[in-house]
Amino acid sequence: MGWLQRIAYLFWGVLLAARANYQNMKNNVPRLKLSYKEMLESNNVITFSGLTNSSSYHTFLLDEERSRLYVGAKDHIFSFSLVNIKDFQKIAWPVSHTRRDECKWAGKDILKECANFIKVLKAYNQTHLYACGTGAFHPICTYIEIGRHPEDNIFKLEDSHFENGRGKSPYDPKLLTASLLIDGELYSGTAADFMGRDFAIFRTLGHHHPIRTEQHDSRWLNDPRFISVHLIPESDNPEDDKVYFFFRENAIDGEHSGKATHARIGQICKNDFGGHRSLVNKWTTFLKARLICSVPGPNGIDTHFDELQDVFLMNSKDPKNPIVYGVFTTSSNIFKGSAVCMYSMTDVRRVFLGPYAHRDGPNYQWVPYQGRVPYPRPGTCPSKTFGGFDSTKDLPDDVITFARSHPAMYNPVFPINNRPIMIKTDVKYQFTQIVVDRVDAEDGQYDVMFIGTDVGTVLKVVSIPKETWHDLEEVLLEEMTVFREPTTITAMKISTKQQQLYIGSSTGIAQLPLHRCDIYGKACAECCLARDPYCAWDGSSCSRYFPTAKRRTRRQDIRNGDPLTHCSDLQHHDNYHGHGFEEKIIYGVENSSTFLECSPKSQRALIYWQFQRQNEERKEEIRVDDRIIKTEQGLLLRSLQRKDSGIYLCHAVEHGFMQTLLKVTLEVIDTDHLEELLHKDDDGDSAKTKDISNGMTPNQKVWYRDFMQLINHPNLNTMDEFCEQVWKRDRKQRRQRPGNSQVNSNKWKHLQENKKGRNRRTHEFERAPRSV
Amino acid sequence: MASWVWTLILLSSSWPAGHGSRPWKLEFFRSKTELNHLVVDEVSGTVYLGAVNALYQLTADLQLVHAVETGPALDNKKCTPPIEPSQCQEAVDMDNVNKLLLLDRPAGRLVECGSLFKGICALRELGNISHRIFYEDSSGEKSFVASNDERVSTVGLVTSVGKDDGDGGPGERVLFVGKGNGPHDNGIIISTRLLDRKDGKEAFEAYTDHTAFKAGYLSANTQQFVAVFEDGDYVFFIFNQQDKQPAKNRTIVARMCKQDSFYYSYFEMDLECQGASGDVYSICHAAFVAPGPTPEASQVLFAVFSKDSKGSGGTPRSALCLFPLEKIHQKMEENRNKCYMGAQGSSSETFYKPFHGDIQCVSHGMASQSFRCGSEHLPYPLGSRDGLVGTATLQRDGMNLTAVTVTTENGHTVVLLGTSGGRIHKVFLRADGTSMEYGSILVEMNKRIERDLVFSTNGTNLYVMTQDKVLRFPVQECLSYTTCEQCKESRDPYCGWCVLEGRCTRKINCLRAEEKNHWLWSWGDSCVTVTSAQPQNMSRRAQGERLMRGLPTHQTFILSLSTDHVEVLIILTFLRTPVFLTSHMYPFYDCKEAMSLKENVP
Repeated sequence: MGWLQRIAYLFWGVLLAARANYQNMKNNVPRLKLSYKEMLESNNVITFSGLTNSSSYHTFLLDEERSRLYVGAKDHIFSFSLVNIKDFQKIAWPVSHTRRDECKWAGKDILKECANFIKVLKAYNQTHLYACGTGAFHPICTYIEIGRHPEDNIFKLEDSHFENGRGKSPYDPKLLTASLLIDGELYSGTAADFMGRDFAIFRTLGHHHPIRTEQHDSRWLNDPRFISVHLIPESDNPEDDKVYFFFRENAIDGEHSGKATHARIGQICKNDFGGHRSLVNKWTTFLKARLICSVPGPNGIDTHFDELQDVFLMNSKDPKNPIVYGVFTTSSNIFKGSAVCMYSMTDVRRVFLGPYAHRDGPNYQWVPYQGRVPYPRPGTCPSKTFGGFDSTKDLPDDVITFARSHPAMYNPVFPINNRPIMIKTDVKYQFTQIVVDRVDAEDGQYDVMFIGTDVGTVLKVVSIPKETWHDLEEVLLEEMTVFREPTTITAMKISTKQQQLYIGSSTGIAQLPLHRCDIYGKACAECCLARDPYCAWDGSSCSRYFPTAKRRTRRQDIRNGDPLTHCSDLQHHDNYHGHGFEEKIIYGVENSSTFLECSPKSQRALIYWQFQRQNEERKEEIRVDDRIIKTEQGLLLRSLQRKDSGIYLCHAVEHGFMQTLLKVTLEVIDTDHLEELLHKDDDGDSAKTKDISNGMTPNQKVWYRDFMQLINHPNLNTMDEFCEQVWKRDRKQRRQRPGNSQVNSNKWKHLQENKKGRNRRTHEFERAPRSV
Repeated sequence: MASWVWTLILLSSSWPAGHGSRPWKLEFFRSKTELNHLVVDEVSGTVYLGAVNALYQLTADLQLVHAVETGPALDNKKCTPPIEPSQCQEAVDMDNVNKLLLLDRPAGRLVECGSLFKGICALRELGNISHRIFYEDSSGEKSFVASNDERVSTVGLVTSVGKDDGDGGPGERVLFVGKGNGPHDNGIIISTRLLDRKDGKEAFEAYTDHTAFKAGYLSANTQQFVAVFEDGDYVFFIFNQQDKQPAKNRTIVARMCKQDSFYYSYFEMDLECQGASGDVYSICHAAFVAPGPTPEASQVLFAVFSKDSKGSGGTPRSALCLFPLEKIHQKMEENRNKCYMGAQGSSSETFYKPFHGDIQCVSHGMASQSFRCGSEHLPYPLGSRDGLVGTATLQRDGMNLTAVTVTTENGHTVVLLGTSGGRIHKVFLRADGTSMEYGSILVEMNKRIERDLVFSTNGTNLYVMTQDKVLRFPVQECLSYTTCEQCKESRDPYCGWCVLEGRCTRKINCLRAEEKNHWLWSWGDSCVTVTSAQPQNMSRRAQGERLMRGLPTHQTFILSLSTDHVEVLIILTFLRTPVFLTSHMYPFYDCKEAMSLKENVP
């Protein structure tokens, strides 16, 4: 049964991937893909590559008021300027030698484990932060003074006062911890023992006795991995305030055949002080429900994304009802997929008011509880709003007993529209983090998601309603590589004030702007096609859109991305004599191959090639055959013939809009002519020579080789030999005539310079193809 | 409330007994309700009984001194005490089964826990159990100690922990508790409880926040605890556990350091009792720790087992197995080492986390020695399926052994076994490991002998408890054997022939027993006999004294001649006391007479 189902999943996964490939051939790919180098060169990323004696920049605290980003890392706490993270202060908070030795003794790794990994970093009050670290498997907490005002410029560890960090920070740096500090009380979901098995939701600090979830009861928590904690008011009465925990955990025995992970949302009341006689110093209002994020499949078998990775709360005008964004991945090792699901708090509350999961004993099925639910209903906060009892200590015995044995709800929480707003199944990476920005655009409000991945990239995605608001189309605007090496993104914060994004990983921190409108291009159409809600065509450039500014010339169409109706300067869009595209001449040798590089900036555009024979007016579409191969990077022409001479036009077609990118004039030189050229020593036409040996200077990587291998060229050796011959001859000639060396070298120098200049000019088109 | 009537019936000679008439008066006490526990104060000899709805304080000869009523009371297993009918509508009058009855002699108090009110406990004065020193029924779940289920056993041990002040001070008195869980129990299996108020905590609250093991809700195992005892710094628990995956009844021995306030040291493993043919007795019914039969007399765990109903084919089969504590320690250390050294492969199936599931054994070097009581960084609690296997010293078919106690008489190990049929079997255990049953007492036909089988203070008597009676039996009946031969035939290791006194006694009761050949042990030396005489025969007319071999000392004796002129029975007695020593047929002759007899001529 189990494996059958698994096979079904697998099959469906393959099917899904295949279908996705087919349907979204161009829709699911990022419109713009920016490498780390491109990001760096365009000044779109600022990186802090870490200290040599630190790592694990995972714990972020954003302080918009002071304009600082506090980061907890290995043995250090940092305070970065939000404006530029290159400007930072740091506090070293290592562990003592004795602690480290003890940790080493216990069989832990001295570098990866026996250090103080900061896991909790929270604003405590106006002047202090509260920080906890693993303390080399001996959790420890303290306060950090930050001063009352930003200009105080204080960043100091209160090293006279250390507190036990048990129940606040995990012992093991690998374990995830989620915490929230409100009103001087720290809520944390963590493991409270060395071995990392005693998981609980704690409330510590403050004046009250610490309180936690019931111990050793797998119905409450079953090996959980905590993701985040949020306070969400239930009503206007603060007595009803609830703290919600997001986590993933093992499915409860009997809930699922075999092992499985489930994503959960758990709730507790902020004013829960535990029971009086039972559940003393334990939560009495703890409830949890499963979060479903799945794609419906044939025969009702859904593909589930159960591994909750991150949660972002998008606040709306009503603080009671933020939108919950959750990032999930699959539990499968083979079928790697990620999804983003959106939940409404109304749905969450409905589930918590629904039936409790119940079973009569270990060998029974979980069923919705049908019996009488004691009053007040377990999970309700003691308040004047819902009932006449003042404290959880006054809860009747039967309520406590019921609460202890019914911590889970029977119904799961389904996402808005019952499906993910985004899935990614055809890639080699998975989502890890998410932040969302609500952006006002000309035609409405859009939620722009920034999704971090496990390969150090950030995806910028916007959900656009198609026909109705229930049918969303996700548009992947950009895929940006923000770290030099592929590394998992483990933290992400957005500063709407700075319009910046801050990204953490184990190796460092990156900062990037939320938008780079100018990168989309220099035409209205390109700006329009980008469908980036942050950007609009202001008449002269693609720039940040501000809804307040009343400018008629502003052009933006997020919903449809249709430049034809929005950009008036498009009547000559098929006229390649206009500006906006490159023109060049390329020489090819008869029987050899040549490559006409043309790749659109937008990954979504389709390339359309046209050919215009010399001295002919007629343009014809290039038909692909054995000799002419169309690739992502351009057009490959094998064994050139003289009739191939002519004009080649490269057009990008996107969203029904065609744009000319390149015009290449190809001249084919016949072999006899070539011999002549090669032997003619003092041929003044250096440009021609240069073109033939284009890209083949010995110090340059023979880039075409990779490329040829990729397309499985049968005559790779032949081609190689040919090139070698060309170079050899060239060198031989120079060696053969020592007397002319001066002249020759001058000539060579000139040639080189010429080439440099040209390289600079046509940099975009003459570089080696992107690595595939 | 009904007033209680206790009757003491003096037995007549009609009492069924294994051996004809009894020279002693059989004392017993009968309870109106079922008896659960029995303890004896070694100092005062006072006997305490825990029964359903009652506690009794009796004199050593089972005369009632105090009786305390403990139930029934309004309760429901699901409700949290104190019971308020408004909050616990299902509350009805429920019996209070005594779950724990323990002495805390140094503090002069009795610890008792009942099944009522979630198994909360009380402290009572040893001298007068009517005086309750401590009882609190409103502290909630932290005060729930015993199982509130009548059928689920609870065991307890009162001992001292904490820092020794160097002057041999007692440290803190605590209670170690092992219990199974019924459907409305608190889930706690093993815990350590305070017995005195400390740091704002009341008696019976957990010693520390960490001194309790709770069953994971879905722990598919149920425990029936059999025994708890201490050995040096360690506390041991013996219990049966019904595993569901795979379905198997296991007997488990668990050990932890007394001083371990985090339970890092908890280790458990299987304890298996195998019959001669390798058949397994898998359910332990009773256990007792006493010096073993070997010359070193090191501590040994004596445990009685039975086969489970499937394995026995209907007839009950029982066995007694001996496990030297040293061997248990050794096996446990071996196991700990294996896991701490990072046991891999098949070993990962050997080790597990008790009450919860899987455990990760990672290499920590020789941690088992550096961390004798475990540590937070070592896997804990730790369990191993690679336990200790013992070979049955004694196997009995057709009976269920229910109780065991062991004593040592003159360095000889005597095991007393109770059966479900109401009988006490007396077994002598020799140093070579062989056993010999030398007698049995039928206490009461088909009345199960309860686990609490206890010797009286000086070891002269045995208290036996059945469902409703407590009886006191002398441990031996040597005096009932009147001749040296009878004494020897008894094979009772308690008995020996006291030569000078001419009676069968315990060695302790024989005056010059320490001198060679003065006390002839039933399993050893033979009775005094005349092996040879010098001369072999004697003329009737001869006169004088003769020595006889085998006599303890040189004594004068009188020859009394029979009228028979050929053979004479010579009875040797001591001169001062008319104590029979031995007898011998001695031939006398009279040549004069012989000559006159024709028939004597060859």
